[in-house]
Amino acid sequence: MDFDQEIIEALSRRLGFLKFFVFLAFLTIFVRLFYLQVVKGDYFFDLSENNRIKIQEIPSPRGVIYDRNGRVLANNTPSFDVSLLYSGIKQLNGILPLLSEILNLDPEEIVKKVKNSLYLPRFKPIKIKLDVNRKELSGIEFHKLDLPNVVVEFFPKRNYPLKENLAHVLGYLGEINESELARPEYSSYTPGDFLGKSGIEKVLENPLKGRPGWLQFEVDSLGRKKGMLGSVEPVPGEDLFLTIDLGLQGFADQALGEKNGSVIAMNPNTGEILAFVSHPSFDPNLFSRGISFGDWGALIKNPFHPLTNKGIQGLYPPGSLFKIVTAIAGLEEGKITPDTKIFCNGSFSFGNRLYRCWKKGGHGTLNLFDAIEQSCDVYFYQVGHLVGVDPLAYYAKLFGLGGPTGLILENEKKGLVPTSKWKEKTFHIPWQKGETLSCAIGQGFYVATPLQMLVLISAIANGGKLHTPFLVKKLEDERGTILKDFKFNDVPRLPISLASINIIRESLLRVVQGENGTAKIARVAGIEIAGKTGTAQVVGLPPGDVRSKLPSYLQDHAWFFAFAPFNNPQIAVVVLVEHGGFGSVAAAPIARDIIKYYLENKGL
Amino acid sequence: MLSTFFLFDRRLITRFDLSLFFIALLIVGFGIFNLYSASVSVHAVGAVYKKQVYWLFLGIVLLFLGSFLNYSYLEQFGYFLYFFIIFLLVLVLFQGKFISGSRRWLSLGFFNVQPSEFIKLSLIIVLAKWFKNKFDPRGFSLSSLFIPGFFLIIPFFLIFLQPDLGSALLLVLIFFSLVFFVRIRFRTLFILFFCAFLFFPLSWNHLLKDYQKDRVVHFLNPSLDPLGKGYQVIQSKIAVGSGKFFGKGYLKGTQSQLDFVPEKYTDFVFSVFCEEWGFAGALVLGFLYIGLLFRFLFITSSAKNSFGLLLGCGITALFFWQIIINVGMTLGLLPTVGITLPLFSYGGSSLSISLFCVGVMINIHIQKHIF
Repeated sequence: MDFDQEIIEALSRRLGFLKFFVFLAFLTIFVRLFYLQVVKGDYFFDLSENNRIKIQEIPSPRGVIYDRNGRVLANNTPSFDVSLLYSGIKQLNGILPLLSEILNLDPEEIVKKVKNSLYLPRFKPIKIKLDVNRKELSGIEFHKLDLPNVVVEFFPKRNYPLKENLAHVLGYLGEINESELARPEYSSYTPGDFLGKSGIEKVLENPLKGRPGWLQFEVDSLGRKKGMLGSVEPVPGEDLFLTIDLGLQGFADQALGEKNGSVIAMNPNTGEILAFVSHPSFDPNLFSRGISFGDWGALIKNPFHPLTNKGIQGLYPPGSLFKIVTAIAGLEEGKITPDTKIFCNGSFSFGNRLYRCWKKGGHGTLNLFDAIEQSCDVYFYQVGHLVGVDPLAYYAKLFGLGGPTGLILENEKKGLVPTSKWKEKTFHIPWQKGETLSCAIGQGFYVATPLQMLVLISAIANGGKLHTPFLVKKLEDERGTILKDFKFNDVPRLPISLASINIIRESLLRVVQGENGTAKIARVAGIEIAGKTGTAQVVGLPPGDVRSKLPSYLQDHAWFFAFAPFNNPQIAVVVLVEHGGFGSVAAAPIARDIIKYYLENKGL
Repeated sequence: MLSTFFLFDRRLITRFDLSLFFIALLIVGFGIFNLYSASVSVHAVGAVYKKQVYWLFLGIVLLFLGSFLNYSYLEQFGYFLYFFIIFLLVLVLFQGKFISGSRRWLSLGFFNVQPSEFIKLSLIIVLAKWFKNKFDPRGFSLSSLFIPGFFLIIPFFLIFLQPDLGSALLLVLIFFSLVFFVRIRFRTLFILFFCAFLFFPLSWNHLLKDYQKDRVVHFLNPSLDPLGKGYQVIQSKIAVGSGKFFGKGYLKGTQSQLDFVPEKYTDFVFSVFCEEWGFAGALVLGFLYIGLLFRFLFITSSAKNSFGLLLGCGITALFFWQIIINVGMTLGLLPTVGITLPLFSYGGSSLSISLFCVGVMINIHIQKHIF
């Protein structure tokens, strides 16, 4: 008993410490409770309301895109997504085998999707599979009772009936990504939303998207509706009318056929784009509910860059098309007159180099009209030399080269107009006089996009007005009320004399109609077409070599641009065929057919 | 006349600790009201609160039994009781009812019992008995901890295999609480740490199976499991926090009524209470538990013999750790393990054994004046 008392005394002394320990533990709990319930109480209260009130989005149909005559270019078709209202791992594990079997998805993949979206706003169902097919849909409906928190959501899926045709102009949709979500202009979007990723779909995302509606209701943790609280009807996106002429667009697409390159047609008097083709193309329907890994890989790996819009993003030496600019510079600077005669013997010796004409034997004696008609290089070497690099650049820039045309589409390339200052700054070596000669025939440092060249030929066609090309005619709401009309804005003429323009116009007519014209192939009975061929070198060749022996990827690019009818131009066309060889052979017939088609069908 | 029938004299009845009795009943009462609220939601799994009321009647009987049955009997039959419950634990592994992934319950026909609840008190009894008999004022050495270590390890593994990691770890906490209380030699402590240091990598690589490793990793880092335990903790914190100062009001907790709170009858019952009664209600319940524990400690300090003192200390530790771990995980302070809130959570075995423990404490109090 004495020993027991000793133990009690020894142990009792430690009990005071235990009281302190209990006190400390509870103090921690109280502090934590105070933090959660008083300090952050409002925050958690809001979260609990978010849990309780589920807001289901009713997607708004995207605006329909029409051509200038009201024919559909892009619309919506119904599609169905399978989504999950997450309510804990037990529920998920319960439905996982069945769900993965019906949807033909790996269970791991479903779990991963749920994990990735767990911290999204609670009211949003987690998308498990987009755009399910009829069989999957009926499977889900059949097992509805076994899949209590699985919902089928209707989604108006974007549809492009033209498929590859016009894809670069229309663009495509994609799921919003993290960097877009962070931007203020996309603040009304939530993860999982689709939006325009390129083309018209992107730049006119705002009017096209409309405003989604909402259903607000109370739910339990399984997502079961318990009572309706309110609803807002969706507002459809605005309908869009493009300047594109669907008939001409289809014809132009066919005319370019399997060749890579770009064909653009526009009204030279207004700048309305009538057709816009870039090859190779892609099917934007692939993107409408998320592109598959394989399809994306195929597009990215394609060596001909189908996603690039060659009309505004492809940069090519303008070649002989540029001789128009050189001629105008010579005329305007007073260095030449239309009657200035130059003798071409097939080459031009300058410094210690020989600059060759494309025609080996030479053209003989030529005036300016002859030189443009026959596209004599030697003539323009000399004109370029007389004008000089910087005045040449001045006229090139007047015609819009070296800067964006102002088309509504994004990522337009500016091209390059070299000046002596530019070379000094870029390469730290002075301009060589001989380089001016190459520039005078559109080689050297000059590069331009097909659209820039089209704007240039249009300015010649209309007597000197540089129009901004445009694609969108008007926006309408779903009742047909015009919301916005993109009216054509007239611009003043360029500071270039009408006389000079008319000399060029006359020469361009002779290119097609003249006895020695390089584009005789483009003649059409009853229509006076004026144009210019061009051949853009991809690589220089030593004398004596034959270009046709080169592998196809080193073949020259073929250019042709034209307008018609000569006296009252209604259409201007540019054709660029990548690695097509001679412009007269590869490009001119395409432009000819397009002009013929347009003028013949326009009157109807 | 009545007192002689129960073989107690009148003094014992008057010594009955009414304050402790009422604190315990108040907590149980709150718990049942809370369970009623938790179970009235649309798709309730039966009337959980009613079952809890039936268990309360049994629990009160056990409380009085504990109060008036001399606790020296517990000491006397301690080993027998211990091995009997060990036998039940073995039985559970083979005959137990399989509910949501683990075998914890023995079916007794119309109700199920959970032997792991009983082993907690039984372990306290055998440890108290052993430490009292081998008491060493200089502290216990490693060799003298060998036998008590066995008392711990046998039920620990049996429960770990069910698997019920929470209850298994609770046994470890009770063991070390008592060991530290009776004092351990510094050298022994050092060796124990060293062994643990060696044991863990060894058992990690050779003893544990992959799914067991997974469980341990998730236990240590629940954020690895955002769909399961992480989700539970998020919902629990939302429930607690959204109660703000005065709560959403009785039967008005949306988190629990709409089933967002997981395990709302058992592990996360406290978050249901916090949502509806707010910080104010949580303070009241908290002070009731503080009152209970302080009363336990007071009774322990006045125990008439060293076994009573160690027994009281063990029961206090049992309650303390359960409360702290349960509330801690509800508030997102501790990892989620399945440990219920004593007297408050739903569970027949837990409620009746807890009330019996309260009875034992009252018994220790009553016997203070009997020599």
